[in-house]
Amino acid sequence: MADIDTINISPPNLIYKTILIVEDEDALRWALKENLIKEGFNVLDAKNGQEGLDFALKNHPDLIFLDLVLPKMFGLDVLKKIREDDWGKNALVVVLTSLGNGELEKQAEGFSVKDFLQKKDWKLDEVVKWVKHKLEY
Amino acid sequence: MNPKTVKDIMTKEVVSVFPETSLLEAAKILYNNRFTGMPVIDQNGILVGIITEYDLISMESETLTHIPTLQKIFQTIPAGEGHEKEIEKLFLLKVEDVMNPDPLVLSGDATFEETVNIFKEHHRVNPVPVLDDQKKIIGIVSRSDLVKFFTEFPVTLKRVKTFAEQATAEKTGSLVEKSVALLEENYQLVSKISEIGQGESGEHFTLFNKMIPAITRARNLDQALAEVVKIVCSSTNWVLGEIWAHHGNKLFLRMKFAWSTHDHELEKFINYSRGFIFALGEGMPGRIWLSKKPEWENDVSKMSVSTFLRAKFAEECNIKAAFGFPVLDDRDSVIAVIVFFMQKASRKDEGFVRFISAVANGLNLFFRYKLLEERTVLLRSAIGSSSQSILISSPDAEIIFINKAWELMTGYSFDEVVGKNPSELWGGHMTNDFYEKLWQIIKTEKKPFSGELENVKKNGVKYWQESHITPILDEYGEIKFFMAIAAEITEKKQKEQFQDEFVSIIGHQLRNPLITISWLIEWLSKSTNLTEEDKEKIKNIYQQNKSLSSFVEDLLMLSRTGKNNLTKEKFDFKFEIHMILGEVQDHNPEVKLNFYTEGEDLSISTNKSMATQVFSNLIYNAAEYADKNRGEVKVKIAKTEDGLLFSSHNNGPEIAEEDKSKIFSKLFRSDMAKEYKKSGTGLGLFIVKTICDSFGWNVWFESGAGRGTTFYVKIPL
Repeated sequence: MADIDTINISPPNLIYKTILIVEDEDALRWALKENLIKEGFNVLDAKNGQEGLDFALKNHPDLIFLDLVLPKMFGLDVLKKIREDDWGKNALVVVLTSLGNGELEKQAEGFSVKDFLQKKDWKLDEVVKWVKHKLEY
Repeated sequence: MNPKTVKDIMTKEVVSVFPETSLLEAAKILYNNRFTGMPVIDQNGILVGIITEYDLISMESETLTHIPTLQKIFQTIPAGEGHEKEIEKLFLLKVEDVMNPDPLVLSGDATFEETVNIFKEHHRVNPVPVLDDQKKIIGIVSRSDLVKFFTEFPVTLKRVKTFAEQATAEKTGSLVEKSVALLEENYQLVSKISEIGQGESGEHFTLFNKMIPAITRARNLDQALAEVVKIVCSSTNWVLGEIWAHHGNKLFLRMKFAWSTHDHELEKFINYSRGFIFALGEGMPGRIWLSKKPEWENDVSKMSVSTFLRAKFAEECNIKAAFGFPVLDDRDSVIAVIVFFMQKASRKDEGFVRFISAVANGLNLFFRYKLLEERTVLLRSAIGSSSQSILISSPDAEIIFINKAWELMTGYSFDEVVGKNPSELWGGHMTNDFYEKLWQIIKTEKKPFSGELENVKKNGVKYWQESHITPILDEYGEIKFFMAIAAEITEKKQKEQFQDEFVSIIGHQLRNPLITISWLIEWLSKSTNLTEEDKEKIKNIYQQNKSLSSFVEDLLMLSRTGKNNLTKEKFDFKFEIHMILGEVQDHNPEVKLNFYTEGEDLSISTNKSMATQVFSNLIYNAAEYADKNRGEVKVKIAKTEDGLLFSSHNNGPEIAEEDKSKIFSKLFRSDMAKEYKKSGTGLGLFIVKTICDSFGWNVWFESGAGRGTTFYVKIPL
């Protein structure tokens, strides 16, 4: 396999939608990123919570995939910080998690999260399809 | 009102003398007014001393023995020789010469107890002035004032009775307790007065004093009444006493007890009387029973047989005066009639009538509450020593009792918590929802509640307790008390929490790589340069990964069943089934799915994710094991009288007879299941059963050849 972190090609049919993936699992991040790039999205990726927050506030992506269990800063803390930001108040954040139902309800209490995706329920294809739909592509 | 302070019993019109008053003048006042002593005041009304009979008697001169006697000498005998000097001296004496300049005094706010004690401790002291803050006299209290209170005993008893009635009417435990306390207080008061009353006059008082030990020893009202009769007969002119009560039914009276002094005639009369049965309204006992009023006859032996049925026997046995009265219970119905006889004629003694009927009627009340108190004591010692923590509260959660174990558990002592609400002490740390639900169950539905609560000990440490709260109902079905039995489960809870976290971490650690593998395989399978063989292998890995994923999910789900801390919510049952059906259809496109509902408002309130797991598992099963060619599934929710009935039917093969009993077992997969579906965790139905059991739902199935298989879930509402 190629060095997954160096792949960053923008296809010609780019429609200028930017997606940020905050995910510490390299392979997972890579798979998702590749598939989204193929669909013509501009993709940024961050390996930990802090990096994710920095990218988000700097680049104002159209959609953020946010894992919950992350190094440096927990997903919900990242979300909290994003929500404190002027731009971030209304940013589209999708929590992409491997946490189960019960845990998720407990964790997300009091947060305004538009969507929760449980990784286990989604095939990669479905995630990509869902993003396209979400961003009215 | 009970005498609470000295003010309630003291004499307010006080006759005082000045220090300069001549002693003879003072003696005259004392004698004429039958005073035992007088306060001595200055011009401003400030107390400066007291002068008493005793001070006069104890004067050093031996000839002056008693002021009244001395006074008589003055009045009748001319001054004799030898006495002259003494008399002269006496004339010159002033109050200040003999008065006690430092008398015992009471302040106006002295309690009744303190007043009683001062007389108990100082036998010679009498009277005692009562002063305000400025040392001005506001009253005087003497031994006789205390005894006078005793004569009001019947009135006090009546007050207790009213209070007890109120307690019964309000049906509250604390009021009953207060009544007991009040009665007890009165009883002690009377005993106390009897102590200081030694040597004082008061025939009734002495009599009652004699009764106290017997009454205290008596085990019930009958016994106590018999004791009272016995004591009256052995200490007064009333030499014969009878107790009449119901015989068989409520229409006739018979003598239940009689006592007399050792006398041949009296004993003969008793034997005659034993043969009598009076109808209500007939004879003296019968009349009293009906009228509920005492009767007094100066001489029954002279009466006509029509008014005193036993007149002839009375004459024969030398029975004369008679006095009978009813003993009433707290609802004012007669429980006995007591009749006393004398061997001489006597006119009515109002004081005795009042006294003895008050005693008898007071006894009834006394025993009712004595019994109650004994039971309470018994109960307290029984539950007090229990190793289980026990709490009893009023219907409004006001704590009445906690036992030792509860004290140890919370760190609060009994005295600290009585009358308080648990929310002011250890409670109030759960969600409002939790408490609302708790009260809904125990107060509205009047059903027992079991649950785990996080509370805070007196020292601020949080702890978990498992509580079972039971409403205790009275005969009208109203809540009398709540009884809570609890055990601390902090340790268990901590283990559970650790287990939860453990499971959650493991779950996450397992899930993540599984999902990653799944996504990578998915991506890999899209590669263009794969051989058919490669594709087949990749598909295989994908399937294995998928079944491992479901196994992990099942394990995680199982680890959550049976937990009490699951969040509950009300949700639309119908909607959730629609969602599940959509999913199932995606996975089983060839199966025909049908959904039927019966009834309105098909919503349930429980933990949603676990509940949907049950229905999802059952519908998936139905679809997966349906007929291979023309698979059909019928899902139905119906509202029944007492809940909801979910059913999921398919047209698949019959479940083999030998498998039927094992179908809900852990890791069981029937041959048929293996044939239909290669991968399967063997946990699906086990999870269904486990969740249903923990929710109190009923799950079962019916399966027959040609009829397919139906799984049912009964959800009670």
